[in-house]
Amino acid sequence: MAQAGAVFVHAQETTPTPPQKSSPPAGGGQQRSEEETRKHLQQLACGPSGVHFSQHTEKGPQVLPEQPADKGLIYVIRTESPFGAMGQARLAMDGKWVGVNRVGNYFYIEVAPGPHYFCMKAGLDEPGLLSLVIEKGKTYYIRHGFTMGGIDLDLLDEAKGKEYVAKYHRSVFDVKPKR
Amino acid sequence: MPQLADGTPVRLRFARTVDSSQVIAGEKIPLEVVEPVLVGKLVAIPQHSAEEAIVTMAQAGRSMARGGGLQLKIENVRLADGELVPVRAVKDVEGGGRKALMIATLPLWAFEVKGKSATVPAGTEITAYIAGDFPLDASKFQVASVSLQQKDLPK
Repeated sequence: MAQAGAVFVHAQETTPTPPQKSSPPAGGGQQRSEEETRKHLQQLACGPSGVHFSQHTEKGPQVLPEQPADKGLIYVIRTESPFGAMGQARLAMDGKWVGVNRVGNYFYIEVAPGPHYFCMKAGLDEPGLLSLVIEKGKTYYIRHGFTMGGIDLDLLDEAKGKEYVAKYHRSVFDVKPKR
Repeated sequence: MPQLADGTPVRLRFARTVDSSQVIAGEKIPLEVVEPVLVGKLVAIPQHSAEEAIVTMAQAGRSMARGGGLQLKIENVRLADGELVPVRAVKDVEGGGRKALMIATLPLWAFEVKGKSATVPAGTEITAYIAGDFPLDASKFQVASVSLQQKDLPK
């Protein structure tokens, strides 16, 4: 505990210039506020309205995918929670809806390396947002869950992620055609 | 031929405060070299030169006051001749009210902060370590001033 504290205190004491709050968006420019960042991320991540999924839970034996060498593999896991248990929760990546989970479900997606933006929505709640740089050949576990305060998207460590995938069932879904 | 040796420390400082609620993965965070890196009399990396970290995970504060998360990665530092050389981390540290972890993920360098604000204050110093041995073409590097060379001598 003391070691890192010392690092931080030392760092602050040796700052040669006045602190400049926050980083600007990539490419420089004006400082971006928390609210502006959230809106920007929402635009990058969330899919269009009016897209609905039909979904069921695959309860048979689970065959997990091979880790692709040239892509990242992401498991999206919905953990149990007393809140929002009835509805579907949809995940969008980079502005496109990519899957849906119910409680105790997971699904997986293969993703090209590079930065990606994730948005989880369910009903009218504010979306849960997360941004990640994906590396090829790596597996990621993203958990989404409901709390009293809304939807959270968390990056899990591998051990915890594997534990959930072993325990839960895969979500199978299709986009419902528009009527 | 002079050589920048594996494990040579490079002290870096955050030029700005980084807050997980105000950055998005893929964005670059400016860093500054705290002190020059010398190889013999040559300045391999000048003081105050600009380096950068990349945001690899950003999560704003979550519900129920559970805090946000931020991960940064430093892959390379730039030598005075413009060449990029890879760096790594070798330390784990923790503490300071919020939890701060430096994680060695060879050959990449990652820095993670978790806490209510998931903030790395401006001026925070971190140390990266050169990953590999790199011969230097002496004609492309400046010779350090006498005072710098003396500073580098063992006491």
